Amino acid sequence: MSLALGYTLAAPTLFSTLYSCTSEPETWQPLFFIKSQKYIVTQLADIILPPTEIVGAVDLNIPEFIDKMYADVASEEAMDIFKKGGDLFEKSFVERFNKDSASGSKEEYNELLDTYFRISDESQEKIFQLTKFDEQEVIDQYGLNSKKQEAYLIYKFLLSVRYHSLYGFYTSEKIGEEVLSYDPIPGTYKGCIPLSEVGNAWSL
Amino acid sequence: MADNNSAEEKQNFDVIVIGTGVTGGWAAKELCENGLNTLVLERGRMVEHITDYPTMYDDPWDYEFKGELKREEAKNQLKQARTGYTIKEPSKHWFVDDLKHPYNETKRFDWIRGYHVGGKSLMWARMSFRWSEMDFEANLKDGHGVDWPIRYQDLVPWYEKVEKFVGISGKSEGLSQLPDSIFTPPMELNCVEKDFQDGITQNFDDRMVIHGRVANLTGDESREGRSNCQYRNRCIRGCPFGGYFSSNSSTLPAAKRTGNMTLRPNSIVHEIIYDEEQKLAIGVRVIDTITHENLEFYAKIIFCCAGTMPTTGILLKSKSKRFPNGLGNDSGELGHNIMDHHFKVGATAISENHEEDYYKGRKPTGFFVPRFRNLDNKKEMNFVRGYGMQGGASRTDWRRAVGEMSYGKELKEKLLKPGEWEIGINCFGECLPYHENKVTLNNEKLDEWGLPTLTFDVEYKENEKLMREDAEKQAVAMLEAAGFKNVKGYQEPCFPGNGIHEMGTARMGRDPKTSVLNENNQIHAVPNVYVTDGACMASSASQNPSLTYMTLTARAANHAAKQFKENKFKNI
Repeated sequence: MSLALGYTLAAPTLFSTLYSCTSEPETWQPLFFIKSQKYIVTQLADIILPPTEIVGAVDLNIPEFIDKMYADVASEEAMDIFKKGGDLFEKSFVERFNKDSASGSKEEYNELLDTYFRISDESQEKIFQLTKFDEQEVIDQYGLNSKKQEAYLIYKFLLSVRYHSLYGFYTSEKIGEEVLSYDPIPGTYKGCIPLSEVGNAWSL
Repeated sequence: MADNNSAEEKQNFDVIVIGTGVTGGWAAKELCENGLNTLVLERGRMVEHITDYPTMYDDPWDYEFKGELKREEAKNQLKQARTGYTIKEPSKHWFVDDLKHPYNETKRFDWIRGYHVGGKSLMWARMSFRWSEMDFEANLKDGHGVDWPIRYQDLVPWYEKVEKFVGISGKSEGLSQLPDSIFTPPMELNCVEKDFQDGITQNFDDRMVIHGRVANLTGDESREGRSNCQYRNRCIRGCPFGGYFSSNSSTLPAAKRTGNMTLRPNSIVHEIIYDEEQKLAIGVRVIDTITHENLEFYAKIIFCCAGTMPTTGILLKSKSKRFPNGLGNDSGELGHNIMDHHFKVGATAISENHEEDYYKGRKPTGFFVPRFRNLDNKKEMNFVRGYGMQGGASRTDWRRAVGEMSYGKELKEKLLKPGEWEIGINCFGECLPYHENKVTLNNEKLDEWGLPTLTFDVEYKENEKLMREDAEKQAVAMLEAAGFKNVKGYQEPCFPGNGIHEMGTARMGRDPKTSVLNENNQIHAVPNVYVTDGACMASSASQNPSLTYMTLTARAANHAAKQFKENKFKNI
């Protein structure tokens, strides 16, 4: 039962305005991101998981986590697709706003992301089907440099930033120990208790 | 071969046990407790209980990459990673380096293993079920494989002995096809698992949902050096509480307490020495992986507990004038009849109930549906034998949102709450013994010690395929009947080995012409060599096999100790 209070007790420490992100340039050096990608990924991560009463993705250095995952863990194919997709997304930004990606505002990135993610359920389903294929299969079916291939690469990039943002955020120490319900050594098992006794989801 | 044993190292023992996994541990314990001077050889490194479990307390955020491996590092364990769950930071050190320990695949075979004291007993899934009369009679009744030389009743006292020591959580049900063990209290079903149980009871006469039976301690009994399961569900890392059974937590400490055990890690046994005059084995040849010395150790009895495939490799390599095709291989069956359990077939669904319910603790098991097809070996289906179902229910976490395009504050807050209830069923099916499913020695491709590597030629066949069709349909039908929503059947490719229940390569039998071992796990023509790991199995049944391996080992070890005391093996 004491664990049920864990979140309630921890929560006040999170209600902090210190965490409101104002896109201060971070000092970390990317290992994988090229050119403007650090800035773009930071904008996207901040839009996907913005700071609220609880810290946001940028507060927890999620863009750096994504960079590291691509530098050291992702497959070579995934790295290649991320690079190409990132370039195309940047190009899309420049075409839409007629300015350098590094000077884009959060509002502009939000507006651009909406054009990709705020689409009908049916269109979303089609995209998820498309992204299941290898790039070569998409090229074979729709042609090199086709619109489909371009969409494939941009969505792969955006969905990866989204996935890694969630992954890094919800498995971070801050969220895992202080926001979600943390219980490293439960000691007992209870198969059916009111959710209200626990509060937020278990982190482990 | 030159004997390079250093002068001070004692070379003669009553018995040598090869391997330290679930069966090696049991052989060591029983033989030592019978007063035999026992040498236990392990090819891998030492692993001390608790002290050598480096990841036992780690959380995902303790790892820079959340437990995933770096790209370059992952290349060393591509075959061990074929399970999808083994090669992560918390457990990767329990699995071999595939570049150092290569094998060959005529057909894909997922040979997943660990070389260290404790073997797979450290990483096993701990599901523990007795076999039944039906299982031991199956070969005789339907004509596949050879008849088991033993029956269920032969094992009952030994199951009891093993279960009392191991500690198996579960609930008695009185089923003939899945006899009850001696249980410690069951781990309760959660709300949705209970709904499933009720739904099946109401809608089917021929099947039921029971508690998982698992070698994790519950209840009030104490066992030396161990405490109850703490519901962390991190068993694969090694448990600081000794909450589950492993050689390291249980049998090896028991063997050590007798003062009769010499445990020697870093010792690769590659050959059993056969004496043509005595017609008995007299010892083993060993490579010390630290000093690179070639050594010999002698004993009156040899126990092969290296794991199905390593044991088979040792026997195949142990050639002599009497046994030109491998020790005890008069029948030509050594290396043949490989079986595993096929799985990765079943169904998933969601529950729309219990939105306001949750659970506390991470249960290291779920529910089980005992076999309900072709009971008592009646041929009711277009396949013989049957399958059991393993599964569980839980609420989803943040990953439920991966296949979406939502973002922002609302998403962020939603994912702090548990998601919907999911329930999943995975069917584990019996595999028939096919002579042509085999492992052979490859003398062209040698390992780093100059020893031959193994080549696998194994496949599932028509009976397994037909069983899988039925398993998927039944899993779907059961989830639907129980009222779950969004029921989806699945059937994924499943390759032999992936169940990590590989067995059958030195089978027991009544006839030396068609089997390798007799009813006491002795090689027919070399009675002082016992094989009690998975190699001994004449059929696979559908239950997880470790409990039966341990039981056969305890029985054989006590048989051997009796023979020893009666001075039946008069070598040396």
